[in-house]
Amino acid sequence: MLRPAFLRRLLAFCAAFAIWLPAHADIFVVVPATSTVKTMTQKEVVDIYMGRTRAFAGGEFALPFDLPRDHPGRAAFYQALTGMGPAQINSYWSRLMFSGQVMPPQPLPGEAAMADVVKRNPSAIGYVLQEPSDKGLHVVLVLKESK
Amino acid sequence: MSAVGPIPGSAHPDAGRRLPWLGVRRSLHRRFVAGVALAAALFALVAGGLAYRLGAQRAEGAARQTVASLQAAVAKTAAIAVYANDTVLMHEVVDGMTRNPLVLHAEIDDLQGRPLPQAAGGKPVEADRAAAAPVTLGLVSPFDATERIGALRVDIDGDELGVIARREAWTFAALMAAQSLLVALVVALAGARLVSRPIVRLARELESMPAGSAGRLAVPDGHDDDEIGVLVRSANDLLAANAQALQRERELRLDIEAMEAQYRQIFDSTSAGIFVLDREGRLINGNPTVLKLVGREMSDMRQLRGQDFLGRVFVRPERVRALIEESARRGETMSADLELLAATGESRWAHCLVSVQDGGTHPAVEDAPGGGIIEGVLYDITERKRAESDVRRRAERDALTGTLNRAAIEEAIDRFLAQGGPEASMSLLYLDLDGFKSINDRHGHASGDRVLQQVTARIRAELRRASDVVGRIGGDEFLIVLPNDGAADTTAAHVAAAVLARTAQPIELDDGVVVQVGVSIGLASYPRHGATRRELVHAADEAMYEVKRHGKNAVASAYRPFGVRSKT
Repeated sequence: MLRPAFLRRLLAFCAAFAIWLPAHADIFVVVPATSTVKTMTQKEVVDIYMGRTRAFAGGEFALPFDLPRDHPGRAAFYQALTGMGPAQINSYWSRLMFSGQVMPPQPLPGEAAMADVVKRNPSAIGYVLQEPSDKGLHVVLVLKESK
Repeated sequence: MSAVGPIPGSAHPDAGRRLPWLGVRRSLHRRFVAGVALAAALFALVAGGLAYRLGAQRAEGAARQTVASLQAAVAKTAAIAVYANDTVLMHEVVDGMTRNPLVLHAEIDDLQGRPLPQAAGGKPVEADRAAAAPVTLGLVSPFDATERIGALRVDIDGDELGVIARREAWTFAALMAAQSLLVALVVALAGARLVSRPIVRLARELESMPAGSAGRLAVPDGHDDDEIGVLVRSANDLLAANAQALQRERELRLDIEAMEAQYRQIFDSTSAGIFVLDREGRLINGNPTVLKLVGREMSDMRQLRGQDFLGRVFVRPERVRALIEESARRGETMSADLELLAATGESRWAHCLVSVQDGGTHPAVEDAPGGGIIEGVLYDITERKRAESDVRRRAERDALTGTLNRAAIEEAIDRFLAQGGPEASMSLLYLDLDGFKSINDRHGHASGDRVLQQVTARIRAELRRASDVVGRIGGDEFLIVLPNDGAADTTAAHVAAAVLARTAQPIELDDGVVVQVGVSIGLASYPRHGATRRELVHAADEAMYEVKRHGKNAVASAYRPFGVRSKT
């Protein structure tokens, strides 16, 4: 006999699967597996990456990491996250950087560095372009790449 | 006569009293310009007022638009600043806003409407500053248009807005006023050129034109078909008609003057005396001939004027008055021969015509009492009268003795009988000389004539009244008529006796010869001895004949009744 909890989880899994299936490529927002954060809304991710807040919803310090400026994944990420192109994102940051009060997320050399840094830093948040197989990473949000 | 008067308004009685208007009421053009200027000024005032309000409104609208544009320009940056909670950037934004002079105060509010820290700039908004509603722009998240994250509030500087609004309003109003004035100027110039100037010029020309002038007005260029052309042509027609009327009047006056001179000449030089009297008989006017007729100088006219003319001119003014009354009654001209009172003593006669005219036409009569005037004409008939009386005398008188002839004495008898009433009486003496024939035969006719003249003188000497007349009715026969002397009177008998005695006196002829004649007298009285002349003369003749038969040189009265003879 199946337990209701299991059934609910199964249903959720199926639903999630049904959603990401038709997409080309998805972007996976990840935190270290050790983090207390288990899931995030897109808005929470935006607020952290666009400098509105430096904390997760639960209040823990959040340290976002980014890919290099010219990395195609970065453009795809911001496009999926905010609907804005890299030029707009750069413009946004240039206004804020003018005052020097708010700084953009720190860029890392590549996806491997990203996975490695996030896995080892408990406050970190990052993104990868493939579903991580590494047990040290935990996906909190899947962003569907917009066409 | 209708002279062309001054142009109405050129001597306006109010002109002096309206000094402040500088003759505006006297000049069509000035009135027109003043009217247009007044209208333009009023319009400019109203339009300017409206334009001012409109300008103020527009200025405020424009200010709000400007502020809104400013807000829109910085909205994104402001939103990013709020989103990222970047106070420096917020301050920067707010500070940039306040640079605009219109912006009194700018701030970025949170969702509760409170200003964020460092996000307010400009002067504080005070309650006593000119109130203008703040312009607020909502700020949304740069990444989620549905999420409001704050608001950008800007307070407009009321004072600055007022300054701008006034400037705008003044500019607008000035433009409107200038336009009105420009239009007014154009209208005034056009009106002056098209209407008032031609009319003013026409008025001056017309005013300077003397009555009856041959001058005509010229139609101003370009006005042939409009009302000014009509005005000029009508005025010219009137001028022509006026001149024609004046010319006619002048000709007529000349005619009248010529006629008057002619009449005056006739009046002054005519041989007829002409006079005009008022109804009371006082002299109004007379010509020189009248004065000459009454032996006066022309200079006496003045003193005669207004005086009783009739009493001073006519011997018997009552007869003239009677003529006048008759003329007035019958409405005809009456005439009579009248004797004039002559200054020189020689009696003058005039044939006088008088007629009474109803008053009203003669200027001197309109005030005259009784109404009407009396016109009289006098012809001098003194000479005719004198000639007439000579003729009559010659016809009536016996050439030798100067007594009445037979016809005249008979007429005298007839006249008396015709006039006589029931109480009238008259006596006739029929005289026949005795012994006259023998004197004639013996001494010649001249002696006979001398005897007759002598006897006549003696008879005349015995006549006592002016009315008694003697006439020679035959060679040596005389008839004496004694009017108002009847049979009962003794006068006739006395006269007869006296004549008888005197005739018997000797008569001395030229050559010294003395002769003597007698006379036989027959007496007859009216009405006792006859009712007609024939009967009376016959009765007297019969009585005389009786004397002759019975010895002559005596007097016998006729018998009564007829046919019975008596002898004295």
